[in-house]
Amino acid sequence: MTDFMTTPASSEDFSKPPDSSQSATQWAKRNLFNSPLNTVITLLFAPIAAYLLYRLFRFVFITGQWEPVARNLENFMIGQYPREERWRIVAQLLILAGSFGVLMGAMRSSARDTAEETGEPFEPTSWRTYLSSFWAVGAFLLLILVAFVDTIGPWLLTGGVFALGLVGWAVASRITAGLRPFAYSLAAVGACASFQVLSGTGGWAWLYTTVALLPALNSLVGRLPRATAAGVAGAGALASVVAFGLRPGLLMLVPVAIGLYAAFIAYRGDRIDGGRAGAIVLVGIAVFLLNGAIDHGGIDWKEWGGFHLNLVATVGGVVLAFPLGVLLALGRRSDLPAVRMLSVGYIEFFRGAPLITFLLAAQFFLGFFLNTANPLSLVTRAIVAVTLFSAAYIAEIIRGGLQSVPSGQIEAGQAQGLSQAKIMRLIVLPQALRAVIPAMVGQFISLFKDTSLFSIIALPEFLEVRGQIHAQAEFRGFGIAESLTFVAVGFAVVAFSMSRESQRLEKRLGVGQR
Amino acid sequence: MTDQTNSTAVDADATNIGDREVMIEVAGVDKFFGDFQALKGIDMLVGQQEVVVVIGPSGSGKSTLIRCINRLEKHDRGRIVVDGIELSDDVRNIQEIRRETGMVFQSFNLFPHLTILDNITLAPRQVRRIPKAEAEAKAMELLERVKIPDQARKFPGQLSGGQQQRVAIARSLAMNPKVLLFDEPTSALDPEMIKEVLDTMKDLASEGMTMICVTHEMGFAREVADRVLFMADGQVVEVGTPEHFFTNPQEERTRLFLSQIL
Repeated sequence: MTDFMTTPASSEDFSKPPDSSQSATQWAKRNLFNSPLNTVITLLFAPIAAYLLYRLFRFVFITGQWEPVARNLENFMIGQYPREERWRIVAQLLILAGSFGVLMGAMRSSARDTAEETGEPFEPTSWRTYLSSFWAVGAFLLLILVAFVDTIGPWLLTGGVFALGLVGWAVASRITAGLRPFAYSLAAVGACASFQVLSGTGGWAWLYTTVALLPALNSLVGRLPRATAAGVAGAGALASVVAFGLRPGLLMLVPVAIGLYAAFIAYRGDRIDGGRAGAIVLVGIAVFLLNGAIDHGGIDWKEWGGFHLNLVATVGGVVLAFPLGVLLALGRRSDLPAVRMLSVGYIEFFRGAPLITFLLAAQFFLGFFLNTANPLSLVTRAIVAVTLFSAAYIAEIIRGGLQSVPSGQIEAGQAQGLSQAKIMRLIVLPQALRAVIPAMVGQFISLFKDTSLFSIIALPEFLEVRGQIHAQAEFRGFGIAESLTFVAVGFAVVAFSMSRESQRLEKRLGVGQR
Repeated sequence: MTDQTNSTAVDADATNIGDREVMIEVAGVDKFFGDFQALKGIDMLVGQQEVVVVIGPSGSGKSTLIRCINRLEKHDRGRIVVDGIELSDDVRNIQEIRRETGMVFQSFNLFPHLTILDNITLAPRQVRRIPKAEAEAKAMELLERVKIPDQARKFPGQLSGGQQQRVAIARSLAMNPKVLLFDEPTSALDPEMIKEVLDTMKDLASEGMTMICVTHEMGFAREVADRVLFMADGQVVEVGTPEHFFTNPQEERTRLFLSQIL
């Protein structure tokens, strides 16, 4: 402060903040040599750090025996997935990339329109921001490609994923507001279809498509006269009912319910907003996952494996555990003693025992509780176990968030005549969830890492594949540290990106909150 | 507002509303927090288009009284009737009364995750089922009225305290309430912002809104109130028109309180 006050160079512009840029030497002086003690510490630790870096470099580039990794790259990534069906995974990745690009592009165009409407300057997320989130994954991929891949295929696939993502993004970021719901729906359909391609339960594709298309349908009928709109949406519901008649099953009731809900919204003259559309898409994905568990066909879950299995199980676990956690957290605060006790009992039980016990339980006796004529695949049961386990933790995280919302917020809602349910859904939950993003993402990362425990029940996930590789005579006792490093770094780069993205999300949602 | 009450003197009878129609009736209301009795047999009437200012030391039960009127607190004995609807344990009954009464809080209680416009339109759209466009048009009208239409797309955190409180007033008006309850609306504000909020409240009073204000702003009470009601220890100590109340208080407690704050 005084420094600033006592250096009034006549040319200096005092309406601007003082120049805070500094050269590398200045930085070193300020941070490494700013006191005698720090100087000693720096001089002491610099050689140690340099030596460790040297050993690391030597291990990675000179002494490391990477052959087991290089020769089994495909096993590491997809496990025992049938090789002749590999195109399914390629198609899944390409479709996912395109969908993700469309989603990001549509969000960008939405942000641009909002900025225009409010007259605030539009600050697009720069590529630097994405780089700061995903550089680790990118570097990891690039390193693998350069070091271990000698065919053109993986290069083409990686390039195709990026190209499709960029194309989707470029197209979607230029569309008008009217087309945007369709872009969202397209992305949702793409996300569902990408899994569809994988499991090959093709006969059901139209169902998820219908579910995912509903937001778009609704935004369209929102423009029609009320009665017509209700008619259109009602027809959608009726179609679902007919489909239910053709292929009865509990899960088919979900699209029926969604169709009726859309008809109801349309009749009221409203439109489904983004949040509800998102919820519907989540339900769609959940329907898919549950359905995949029951309806076998194509490349069954049983044959999924490798890092791919870890990623799919994480997505499934998050999509299923999050809503369950919200319900449990609300149940724990319920006025009804029975609901409260059930929630508390569930949470305490599933937090009380280690995940491994639940995985083993899923392997050995989950089938007793369910339809034994059509046993669930082991993968499904493992996902059920991590879901039930994580939901208990998520519930406690959300409960903390609910408690952080001041009671004045609830009172303000009550004073305006909002019902208890609406106060929770529109006022308390949005604030609570926003407050717990860091802890929640921490739980998701933890879930992701916990999928490595699938190896306990002999599922061929990333870590288990490594074990199987070294069990072969060819690779026995050779390159063990290297393959372990590879697996660890694989987990770490994905977890790192999740963490960085959550920080970005936090910052973005914090706008205007202060 | 002209003085329509018949009382020329100051006494402890808060049910004298002259020839006004009754808007709110509070009869024999007790309220306990554990063993502590916050309200002791309160009897009060508020007439239509009347402005009642409630003053008193902290802990005297002022806030509790108005929070009982829209059931933010449940009273333990007695009856409360708002615009002909008696407050009971029936949820629908409570909702009906809450739709009739707006409330403005000391700490604003705006919803921080919603824009100003969404803050105002939330209840009309969700409770009254008014279509979005109509609700937003009405919200813009209200923002004009509290003189901050240019802030509609901002978030509460981006506004000053005074602006936030005016938004809160606009929000409470959006449901077309018949009564407005103010719970120390200026106590959390910086001095230079108090005036803008009080001016908004004065405008409302001059437009004929029925209001109960818990406040420490004696200038406001003098200028706007039809009656001033002094509470202490959960009881109504003294009621009167502002000129009688401030110039000729009868009770020792009132005089002591006034001497401390004036």
